[in-house]
Amino acid sequence: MLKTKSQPEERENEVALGGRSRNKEIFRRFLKNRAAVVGLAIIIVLTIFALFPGKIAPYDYAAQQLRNKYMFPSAQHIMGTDEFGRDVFSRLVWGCRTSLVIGVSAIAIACAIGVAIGCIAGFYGDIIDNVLMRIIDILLAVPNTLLGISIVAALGNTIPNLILAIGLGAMPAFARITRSAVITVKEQEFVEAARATGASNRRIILRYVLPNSMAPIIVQVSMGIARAILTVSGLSFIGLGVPAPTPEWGSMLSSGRNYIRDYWYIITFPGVAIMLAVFAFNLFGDGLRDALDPRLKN
Amino acid sequence: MARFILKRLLMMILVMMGVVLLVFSMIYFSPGKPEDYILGDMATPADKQAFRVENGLDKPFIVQYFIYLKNMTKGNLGISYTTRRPAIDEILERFTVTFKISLLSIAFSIMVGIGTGVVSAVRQYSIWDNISRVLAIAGMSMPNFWLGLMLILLFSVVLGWLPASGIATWKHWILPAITVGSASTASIMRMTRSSMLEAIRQDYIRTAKAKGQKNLVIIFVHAFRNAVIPIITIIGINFGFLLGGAAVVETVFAIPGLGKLIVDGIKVKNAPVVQGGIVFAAVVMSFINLIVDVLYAYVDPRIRSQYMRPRSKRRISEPSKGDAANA
Amino acid sequence: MNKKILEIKDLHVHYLTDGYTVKAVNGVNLSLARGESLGLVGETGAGKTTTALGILGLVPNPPGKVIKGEIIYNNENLLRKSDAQMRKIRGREISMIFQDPMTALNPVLTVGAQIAEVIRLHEKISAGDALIRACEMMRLVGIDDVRHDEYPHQFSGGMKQRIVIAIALACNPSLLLADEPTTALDVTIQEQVLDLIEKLRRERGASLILISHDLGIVAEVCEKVAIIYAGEIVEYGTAGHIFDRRAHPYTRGLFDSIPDFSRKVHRLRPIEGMMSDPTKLPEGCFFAERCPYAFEPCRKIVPVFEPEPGHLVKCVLVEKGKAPQ
Repeated sequence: MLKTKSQPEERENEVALGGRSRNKEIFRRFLKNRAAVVGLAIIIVLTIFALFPGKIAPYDYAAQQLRNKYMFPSAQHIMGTDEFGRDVFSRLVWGCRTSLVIGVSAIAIACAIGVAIGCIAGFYGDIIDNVLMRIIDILLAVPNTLLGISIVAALGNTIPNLILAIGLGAMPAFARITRSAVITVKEQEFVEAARATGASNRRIILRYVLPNSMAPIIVQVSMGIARAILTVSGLSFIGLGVPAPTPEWGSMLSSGRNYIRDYWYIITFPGVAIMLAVFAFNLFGDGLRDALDPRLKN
Repeated sequence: MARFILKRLLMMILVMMGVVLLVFSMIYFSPGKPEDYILGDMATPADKQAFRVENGLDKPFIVQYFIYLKNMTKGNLGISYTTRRPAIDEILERFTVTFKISLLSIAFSIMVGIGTGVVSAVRQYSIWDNISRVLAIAGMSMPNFWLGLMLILLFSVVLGWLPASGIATWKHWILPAITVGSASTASIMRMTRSSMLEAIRQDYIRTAKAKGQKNLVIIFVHAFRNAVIPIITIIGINFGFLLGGAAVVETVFAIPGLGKLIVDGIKVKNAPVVQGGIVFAAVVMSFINLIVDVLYAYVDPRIRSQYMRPRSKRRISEPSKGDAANA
Repeated sequence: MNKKILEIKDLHVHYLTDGYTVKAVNGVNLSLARGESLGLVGETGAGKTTTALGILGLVPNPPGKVIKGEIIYNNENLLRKSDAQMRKIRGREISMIFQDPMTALNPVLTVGAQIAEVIRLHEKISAGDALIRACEMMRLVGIDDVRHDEYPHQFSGGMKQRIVIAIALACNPSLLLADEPTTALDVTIQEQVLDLIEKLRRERGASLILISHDLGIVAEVCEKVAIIYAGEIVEYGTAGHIFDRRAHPYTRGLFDSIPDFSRKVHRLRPIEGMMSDPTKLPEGCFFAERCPYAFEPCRKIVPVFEPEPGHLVKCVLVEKGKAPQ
């Protein structure tokens, strides 16, 4: 009986501080996972590409050299040139910026809205939960790609619309994950203890419930960016993505597919680029999940 | 159980009304009018007005919405603006094709995914396990349309074994099915592996070993039957992705499927076809989710007993007569 | 025929994890006569369960590994047997009752099927007949056999343990291993389950190894008692030896740490300190670090002494005749 009084306080401190030693432990576990570190390394490289494409790309992404069309990879053009004689590598570097900007912003929006909905639904329960979750069900009922296609096609294919379309498609997953995490966390003692001290709902959610529900959300961010990059390229591939002449991996594939019989390398490199980026975010997400919750590790 | 299914069906109707509202307003409020696309530049304002009246587009939004819902209950999704055929006919025609691809690819994913997943779990950290884990993440990371292109390059262009486009013979279905199914194969494999690993570590596996049971039986009867629920979940989720994913892959293989119908329709604001197509896909997905939930109950007696006695609040472990009788 | 049904000689089992070697069992010697019951008593982590799993050949591998030793069952060394041979022994010759009935039964199979499974594995019998036998077993352990098509979650903890007992006894094994069979149960049911095990065992003439940390339970059921500490048997003898003339300081510590209501004692005396880290065990006596009587000879290899016939003690004090009274 004596213990029960001090226990919530201890828990609370650990929770509120995030536990520096706990973070260290998570970091250590993450570093032990070689695949996850490889993922992180690729993400860092891609981020550098996206931040400074002008410094890295050897050519202007739009510069056409019609005399040098369909060039095989060489020292001059390490990934060859496309049907307009543009340098494929330079276009890939600039395309990286497009993919990351869309992917990251879409997931940022999805995460912000989804987490808010999930928190409110999970914390308050009852009617609020029911109404919010039925709205989420509506979004979930439409296959993701079809939802993306129809939003972009209806509103016009600009980058902001793409972000909106992909963000809306990714949002339900965040709402559901957050909701179930919150439902678990809110039953725990330290929340009860916080309530007993007279903390407001807002404070309880932001300071106690949410920080303790973070693990699955963080993992979903990484996996979500991976999926978003895939969706952007898919939409661009069917002509509903980023408008020309902005370089985008999916549209590079789409224009290259007409030459598949003669110039295989034009469609190979953009595909590898997409795969590598998605691969990196998936590995990173997997590694995070294992590091954040060792019980799930197999 | 019947109660549960009925409740779910009612819920589904509500959700579908929401889906229709979502798609309906997306098309209604988006810039550009169908008559401009359909009738072309030569049309007079009078022609356009006639078109609007004919298709009920002159009425207020909310009226249009309820007329649409009313017609929907009779299986009438409107008339396609471009072909003047009933939209439902066009959709069914195309959906059959997409559904066939989806079924083929989910069958492929289930066989390959569960097979590799089980072996991976049983031989954890073996070479087989490591290779299939890397392949699985790679498979999840590959854009399926690119995989399609690469398969065409290899099997059609270089080797010449399989046709690159169309749906004329059974050979035409092989590449699309593998292409569409690659990502779900990967995720089914990963889920099978992790839930099998979890199941294998349970105490009841040790009990089965202590009975003298053979390993193969332990894996497939004792472990797999417990591991199967998350696998069913992931299969259900993937089926949804497949319906959407097929839309993009259809472009690669020039297959006249639902995805292509919607993409083509949306470019000319062919609302009946687009709305109908999306709602149709959503209904199919909801039914799949319902089937998945019913399957849970079939596989797991704990879930089944929740549905069987929905009213009586029977605890998971009831106070048993035997204990008292022997006391 | 040999009087001894089981003899364990110098058994060593290690677990290899994350670069550490956990020495779980370190030279256990035990023997058990036919029809006899033995209590294996020790703290959590002393190697009790590992020893039992070792007998069945079920030490989880990896990470566990039997390093050396012999397990002689009916004149045959079980450690030399193939997996197929062991499968014929498990469940029929030797069977085990597990600690936690909540997790020991498969949640997706009916209890009847789980009992019938072991019968069908070892006897040439149809599925229908196996189920009839399973129902007989259910009645035998005191469960209404109309419930054979129910699932584990529909039973209480005590009832589940009865089913586990039914599974263990279904093929009339000669040796029964019971690993803390009552620890996970409510106090009120512990007694019934224990009585049931003991009654059925006697009726069938099976030998029993009862693993427990509870001396009271062992006193009730067992003829012989072995005290295990850090993977080693430190004292072995009849119940009389252990309960009346215990000699090892660890055994004495165990008795001092349980309440004795017949005597007026102000406080219980727990054993000071913690069990030695099984990844780095000391030379000599493993208990020396915690032993109030430890002195120089304890740091060297300690032989086993026999202060009276059948009473074995692994402690230097016994030889010197200095065993504290």
